[in-house]
Amino acid sequence: MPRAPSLSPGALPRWLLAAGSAAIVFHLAAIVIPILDMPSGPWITDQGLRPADAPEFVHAAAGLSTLHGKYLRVAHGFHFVTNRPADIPEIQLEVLLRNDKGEVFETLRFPDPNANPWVRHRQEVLVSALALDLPVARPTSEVVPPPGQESKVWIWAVRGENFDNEPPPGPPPDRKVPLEFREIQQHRVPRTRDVVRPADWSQIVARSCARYLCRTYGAKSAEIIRHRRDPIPPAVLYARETPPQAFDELIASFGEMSQ
Amino acid sequence: MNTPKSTLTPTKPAAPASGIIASWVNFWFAPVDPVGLHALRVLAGLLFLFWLLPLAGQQQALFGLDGLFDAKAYVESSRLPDLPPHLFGWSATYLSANPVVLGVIFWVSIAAVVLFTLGVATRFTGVLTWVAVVSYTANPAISYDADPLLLMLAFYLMIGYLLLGQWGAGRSLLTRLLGPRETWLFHRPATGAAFGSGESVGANLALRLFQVHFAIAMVASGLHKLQVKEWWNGLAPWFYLNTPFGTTAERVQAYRPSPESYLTLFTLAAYLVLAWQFAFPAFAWRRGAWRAVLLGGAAVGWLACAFWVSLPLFGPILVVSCLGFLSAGEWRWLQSFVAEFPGVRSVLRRLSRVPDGSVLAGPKSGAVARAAAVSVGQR
Repeated sequence: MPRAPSLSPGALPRWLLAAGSAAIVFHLAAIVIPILDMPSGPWITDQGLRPADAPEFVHAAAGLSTLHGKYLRVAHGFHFVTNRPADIPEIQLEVLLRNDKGEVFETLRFPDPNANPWVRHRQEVLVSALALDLPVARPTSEVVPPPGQESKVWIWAVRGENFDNEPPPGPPPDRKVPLEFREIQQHRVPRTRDVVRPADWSQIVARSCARYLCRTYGAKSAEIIRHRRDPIPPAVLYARETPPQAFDELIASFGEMSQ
Repeated sequence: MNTPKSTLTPTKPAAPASGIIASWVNFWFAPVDPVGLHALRVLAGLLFLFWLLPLAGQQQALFGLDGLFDAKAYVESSRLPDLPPHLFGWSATYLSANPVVLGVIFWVSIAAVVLFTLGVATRFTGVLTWVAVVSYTANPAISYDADPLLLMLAFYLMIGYLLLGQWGAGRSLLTRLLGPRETWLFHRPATGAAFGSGESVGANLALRLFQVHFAIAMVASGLHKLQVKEWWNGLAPWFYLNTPFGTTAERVQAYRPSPESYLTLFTLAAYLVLAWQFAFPAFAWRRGAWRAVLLGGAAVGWLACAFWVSLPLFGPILVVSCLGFLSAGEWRWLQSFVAEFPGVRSVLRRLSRVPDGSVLAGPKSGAVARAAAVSVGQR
């Protein structure tokens, strides 16, 4: 095969060098913008710990990375979730599949202990989406809406908790008592304890998993039960004995969901 | 952008360039022996297979629109505020929810990655490989931190092979569309020529873009860690090692005899990780002993990810990406070094039917290595 002479850098025409350089600068800008266009923190503020917004000039230039982010998929903030190991609770799911008669005919576990490590890892990532709980605002005044106009909220409630009467001033829920996902009237939200609900993203993933499992196994409904353990603080090393609550599981049921 | 040339004669060193513009042009546009691009392709291809093959049989559950994260979930989550836009991209698996079609797409993707790894029609299979990597990292519910690094590898390799061999005359249309035949892993070069020896601006450009992007990723991730208290107090490794469901009271008890020693080790490890990440741009392009810092750090990261941290892909990606910083001369040296091991040379010779002394060892390959080193050393 005939061989062409060696190409030295100078052999590239100037217009090509200029165009290439412009493309490189644009590309570097497009990959750096999403890194800077991320909230930082949380920082200590007058309103407590809060994240700070990204710089405005970067936010204004965010459109430059649309091509790289949405289509080429090479623009990323590199704010890895796993950089915050102490904030990531671990989740395992127990899924009860029920038939038309309401009988449980199959119990599945995610991550599946029988799956290969790679599949199991992706399942771990999937179920970690169900970890995030958000606080529910407690009512600050006695506003009782007229019948039929009640505003409702979904919360993690202690199983058997009664919200029909005045909110009971009971103690915080025992972590060993299963929680259930319930819709209650907003003015019935307990005021004497912290009340949380699963994040919208968690609910979407839970419903989607339930639909898939119902379709796959021909189930009438699927009940997703979340087992959650919080990270174990290193302070346990200095206790005389490991506090048993360090290994407590918070069990919460997303309820029965169908296709 | 590949200019074939005889590599048996060392490249004549160019006049030393000076000034910012000359440095810029040399950094991005100097033609190099594409052996680094080829090596990165093979390693990345194996990595992609290592990632994708174990997911076989789970295509519908993990990637299908009727899977664990289904079409309805995409619609619902697209209405959520404050979700990063990169969560919602495109994927070949969105073409159909039919399990058979999904299976076909999966195995075509695997075939494309295998062919790309082997160096068959790299211009075409490089694009297919990138499409496959994008497609199988698109599900926002199962995406995790290593995925952007996979995407980087696939993207810049695609760019490299799209450009490789495009500059200059004498190429057939088929070669321009599919890529040069010389990229075939077991290609038998003409006597006296070395595999992948034609210098290429495209190979350099793609490798430089990858290197710069990866260095940015390392520093950006390090900066993010500084927003996290557990990295400042150095206790982050404790949490990676002692996962909530994986830790028992007995295991905690085992630390008790000397908690200070363990915590000293954990905090030291955390600060070494931070130091490695922040200093990455300072040593990644340096030769000599600094290679031990680059590759040693990556190897330690792999071991840590394999045995202690639940990040199975992160370690191999780290090692492959760091190997992407080796120069052509270093790759040639490594090639010769590996070929000295008993048995390796005969196996390689049998695989490629390479004539003695043409590629892997001997005085001629030494000339190749020196030529590449001189060429790369110009930068």
